[in-house]
Amino acid sequence: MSGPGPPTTILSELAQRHREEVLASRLSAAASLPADQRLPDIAAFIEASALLQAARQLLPLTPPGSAAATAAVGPEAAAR
Amino acid sequence: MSGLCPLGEKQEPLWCEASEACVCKLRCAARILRPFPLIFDRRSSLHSCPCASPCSSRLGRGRLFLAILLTARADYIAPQSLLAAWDVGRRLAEHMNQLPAGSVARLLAALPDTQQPEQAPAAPLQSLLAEQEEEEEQQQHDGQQQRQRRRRHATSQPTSQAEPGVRHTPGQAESSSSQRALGALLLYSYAACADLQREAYHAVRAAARAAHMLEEPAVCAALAAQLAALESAGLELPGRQPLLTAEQLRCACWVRVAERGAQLLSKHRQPGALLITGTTRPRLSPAQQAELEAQLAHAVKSLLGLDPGSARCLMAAAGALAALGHRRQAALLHLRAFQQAAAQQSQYWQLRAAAAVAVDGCKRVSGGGGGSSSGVLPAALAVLEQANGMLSCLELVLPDSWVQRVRSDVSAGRRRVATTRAQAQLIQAFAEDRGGSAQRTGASLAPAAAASAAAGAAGQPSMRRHAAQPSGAPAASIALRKQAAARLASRAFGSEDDLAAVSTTGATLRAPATAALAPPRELDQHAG
Repeated sequence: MSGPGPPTTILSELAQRHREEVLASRLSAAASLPADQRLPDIAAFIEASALLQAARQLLPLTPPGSAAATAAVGPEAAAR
Repeated sequence: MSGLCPLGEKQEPLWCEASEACVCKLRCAARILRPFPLIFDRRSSLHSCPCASPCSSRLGRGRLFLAILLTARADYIAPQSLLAAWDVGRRLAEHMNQLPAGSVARLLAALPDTQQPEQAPAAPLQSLLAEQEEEEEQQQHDGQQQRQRRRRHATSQPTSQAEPGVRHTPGQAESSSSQRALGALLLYSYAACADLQREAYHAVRAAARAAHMLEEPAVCAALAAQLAALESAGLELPGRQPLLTAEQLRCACWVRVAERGAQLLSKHRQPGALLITGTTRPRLSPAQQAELEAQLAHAVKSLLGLDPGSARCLMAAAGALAALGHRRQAALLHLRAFQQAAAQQSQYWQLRAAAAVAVDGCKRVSGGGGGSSSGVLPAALAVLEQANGMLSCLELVLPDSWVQRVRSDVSAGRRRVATTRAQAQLIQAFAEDRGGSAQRTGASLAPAAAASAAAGAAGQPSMRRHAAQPSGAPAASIALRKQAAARLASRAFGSEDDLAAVSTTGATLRAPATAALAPPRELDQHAG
């Protein structure tokens, strides 16, 4: 979170970013198809992606898996 | 532990590798499911404290939702099993009407459309709600009757008190408010409705029992710590959650249980697989294995009963059946899955089912009775031939993890076809007494030895005796050889049609096509 980490972490983040870009490009390619021309597999991919996005909003977790809400309410908890 | 997935996976972030960390997400989903009995137990003990219950239920729903999503995301469930829109509720109700929880289904069917909420009658909803409560009362124990009265009281309260997660504009009519409250009960949660809560509890508890066998203590401890942190943070879950019913939950859980169980049993019976994957899980005790097998059998029944037209459910059920040793039934389900996938134009499941049909082989499918596979097997082999083009199309619009799984299945199917074709050539060589032919296939064997090798390759030790009988007589005629070869073919392939299908189609799946079907090098490296 603070400053660059070790090289392996940086490489991991780069690889992760690349995978996210690939996934986003495929999602956009899938979404660009007209709804009536989508195969069930493509529709499932789009739907699952949308649901995953909703889950990320409902229960946010940081990439390492810790709860983002902990950080969000941390100052409030500290103030209390 | 910083930088590591808290669930124990090495360098596998939980969220960001949405397409690649398929295995990690599968494990995470199973592990997230695990603490649910604790959550529900805690809820029941907190029923006397209304202010504590909503927070817990929202957290529970959030985690439940998360678990389902992870499960679905890693390897998708049938699209109709995951509903994100309110207006699809009616379609779901039609499905749920066939389920035992009929009162819930009728309640859902009576809900108004999103576009015309005012036109929905309030009275039927009230009566249905009362009817549902009566049904519940008959099933309740003494301690639960108290909770019934409390719930009835809560339902008569304004919506915001009945379900704190729902937001309503002020000034709504009472009837509309009650409708929305009822809709919120069904739309938002299993926890707010006793029936659904009970269904979800049993489904998740059963799934968690299976998942518990797959867990490692360190991972469970890490997850428990994470969940404790979430609870202490008082996590708020804004917004509306998609509609997920108890039956959908149960289906999803059983799909996962079936697949995980099948995977585990498969590895358990093949110790070499454990070495390859590096899994260090302890072996199951006989009691654990018996319980897992019972759950697999239940999973098959649930899957086939809930969504018999889904290729995905059929494949999962077939996997569970194969793990239980019912390979013939599993092969039949693979055939059905292939047909359903073709009818639904799902290339993903079509390829996977075609590969499964090829892996099953002809004998298990037709079983000597003939007919059942005569049309499907050539079609499946034809799909395998066209797999290259279909995969090229799929990898443009689907995640790598999905495509990679199809590639893996296709490769396994291709290997099976090649093996079967070699067996067919050996048997033909034996029948025609062509030692040279056998040599051309790469097996420099005498005809009798070729037949014996074919029998051995087919996994039929008893066939060796059949092969040895005619070869033992030095003056055996060609007719006798052909007769013995027909017996071998019948035992190995079920019918001559199947043999012909594999022989002809397999010829086109030889080396050039084999190379074309092999996964790209980078995918192999990634898989490694």
